[in-house]
Amino acid sequence: MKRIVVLLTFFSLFMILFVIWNNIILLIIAILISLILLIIRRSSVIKGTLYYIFLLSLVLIPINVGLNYNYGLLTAILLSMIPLMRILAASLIFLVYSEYVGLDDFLDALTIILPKEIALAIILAFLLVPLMIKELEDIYLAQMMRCLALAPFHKKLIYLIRAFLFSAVMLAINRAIRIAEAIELYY
Amino acid sequence: MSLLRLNDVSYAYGERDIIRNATFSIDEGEIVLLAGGTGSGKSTLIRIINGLIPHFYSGRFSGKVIFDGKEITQATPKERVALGIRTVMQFPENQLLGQKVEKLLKRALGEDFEEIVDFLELKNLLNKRVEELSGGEKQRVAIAMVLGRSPKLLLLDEPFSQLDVSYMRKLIKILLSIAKRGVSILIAEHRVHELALIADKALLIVNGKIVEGKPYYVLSRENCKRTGVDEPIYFSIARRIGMNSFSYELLRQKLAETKIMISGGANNPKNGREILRVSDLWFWYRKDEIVLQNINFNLREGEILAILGRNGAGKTTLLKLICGMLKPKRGEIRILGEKLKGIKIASRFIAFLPQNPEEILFERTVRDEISFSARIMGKNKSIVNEIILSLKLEEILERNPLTLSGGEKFLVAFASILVKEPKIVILDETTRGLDSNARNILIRILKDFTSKGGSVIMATNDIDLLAELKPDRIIVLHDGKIVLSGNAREVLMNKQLYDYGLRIPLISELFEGVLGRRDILSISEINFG
Repeated sequence: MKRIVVLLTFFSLFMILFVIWNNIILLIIAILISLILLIIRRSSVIKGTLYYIFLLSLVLIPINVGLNYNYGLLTAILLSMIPLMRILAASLIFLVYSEYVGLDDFLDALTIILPKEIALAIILAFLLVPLMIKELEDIYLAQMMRCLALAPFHKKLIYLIRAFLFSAVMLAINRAIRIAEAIELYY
Repeated sequence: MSLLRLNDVSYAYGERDIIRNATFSIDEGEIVLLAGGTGSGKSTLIRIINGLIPHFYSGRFSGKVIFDGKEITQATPKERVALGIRTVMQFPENQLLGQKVEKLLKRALGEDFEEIVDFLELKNLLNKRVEELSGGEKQRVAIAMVLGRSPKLLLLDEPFSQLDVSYMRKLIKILLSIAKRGVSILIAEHRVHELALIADKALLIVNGKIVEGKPYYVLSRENCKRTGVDEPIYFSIARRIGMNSFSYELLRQKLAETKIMISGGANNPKNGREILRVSDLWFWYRKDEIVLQNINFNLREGEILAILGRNGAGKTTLLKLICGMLKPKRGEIRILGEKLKGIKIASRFIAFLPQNPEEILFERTVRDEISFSARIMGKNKSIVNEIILSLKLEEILERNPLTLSGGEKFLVAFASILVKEPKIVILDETTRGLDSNARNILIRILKDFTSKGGSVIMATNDIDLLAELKPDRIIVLHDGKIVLSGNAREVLMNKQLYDYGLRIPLISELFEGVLGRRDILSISEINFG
């Protein structure tokens, strides 16, 4: 599994680079890696996900080729690969959130590819949302019961956003520091 | 032999000296209790030992840390982990980075996996995901994670803050058996009643200085009052009957020889009008997992109703239903006769304080925070001034709420919800994490609020707080059902509490064990002859 995550992570990063620089060599490398992934396909879930992506891209590519045909056929094909790249990059996020890829594996993969600080920032972004859901629910309930449920809609909206932003930022900073401490000690 | 030694260690952050000239040692296999009020520097001291200070946190650090005969002041946190210094953090979910428990543990424990899983009885948790675990289970997994590869010193930061009483006792047993294996344990905690009995030594942080010694002497009445730490109940009784040194056996022996008079009585039942009625309430997220079933109770004006139950018993779900945030699957809730149909109706009568009251504070000053609801609801400023005076908040009005102490934050949060003049205040495990000073404030303001006709519903598993507060009624939830209900004395003295993963108050346990008396609920009821 770890190997697949490393490959997927590599691939996603290549995708992002490709989208930024539109580099043909990176695209070829990315396609090669995706082929390797399809060949490995050890886990049925990974296999299913990749088939899904593959099918989706089959639908998207002809549409995009048609849309970009005025640039010439080859360029149109290349440009039409961009949505595929984005879907593949997003697939990693999907896999992490749907728990088929462990966050610890993801962290391993990231620290192989990226400097530790950047890897840490990415993993924190992944971790914070699910960890904060209960607290954010508490904030919503407490603020609504405090007075906002009775406030006119525009006031309710403004103050809920304000309370949420403030509390969420405070919570996120607090959580991020604690998680970073744990990573500093054990990961 | 001394395993860890701190020599003249100081740490300051900004203007504030958090730890000053700390010098103490921990021996092999010793259990050491690190006590101190909220924000006293307990976590800071743990970070100094595990190396996060000075390697992860900036600030001014001086002094020496010696572990196993070698100076490790410059060793990084990971090097210290490799040496055998392991930390279990206050909120264990922050250190469980992964989803499946089995995978997490295999990775952390390596070849010790089977042994530790057996030792901590974790087999039934292996297939669970981290977010499916209860607070106690998370704590157990976090402890398991740090037990692999021969730990020498365990540092636990407030391990009881997320646990219910039954699991607290299990954890104490686990810690005792870990210490028997020769592992030293430092436990930072402010709920010290039971830990004080098993600790070989106590360290108390008083204004940044460390007081070190036997728990009975360090946790003296005066020290506890100064720091906001609970005076351990057993120590308090021992002092009142004139014991100069402490052992549990000696206390039992002395108590058996002492004449005891009880001055407590039952609370008079409140006869105010019915303000809330919950009838045949059922709730489930999935039909095959019923969260609440056949819940029936009412609440009268001026009453304090406590909902007692272990973590996961359904307390928070019940509160959310009463607040109109969830809709009952069957049955109904009526407030002053009106059927509850959503959060808007509930909000007219009810205010809610979450587990961590500071989560609702977001204004720049205490004054703005308290007048927020008045501004939104177009209320007269006089109600704000009245609340400020009654809760004695005049001196902190211009301060930022987030810079206040735990007790002050609670007071401000409570003041801010009182402005809308709610009929019912709901507290969801709000006493967790409060030190004894803050808890005394809580008891005072709840009694004050109910004396003016307000009603309170509080979900908690803090049995000793309930014994002190003596709510008018307590209902015990277990697996989503009400299994016991009655006044404080009827419920808290009921031995069936043990069947539901709870216990009777510590003081009642002691007096029943020694004298066979089943009429003592709290320390304030006892007079020694």
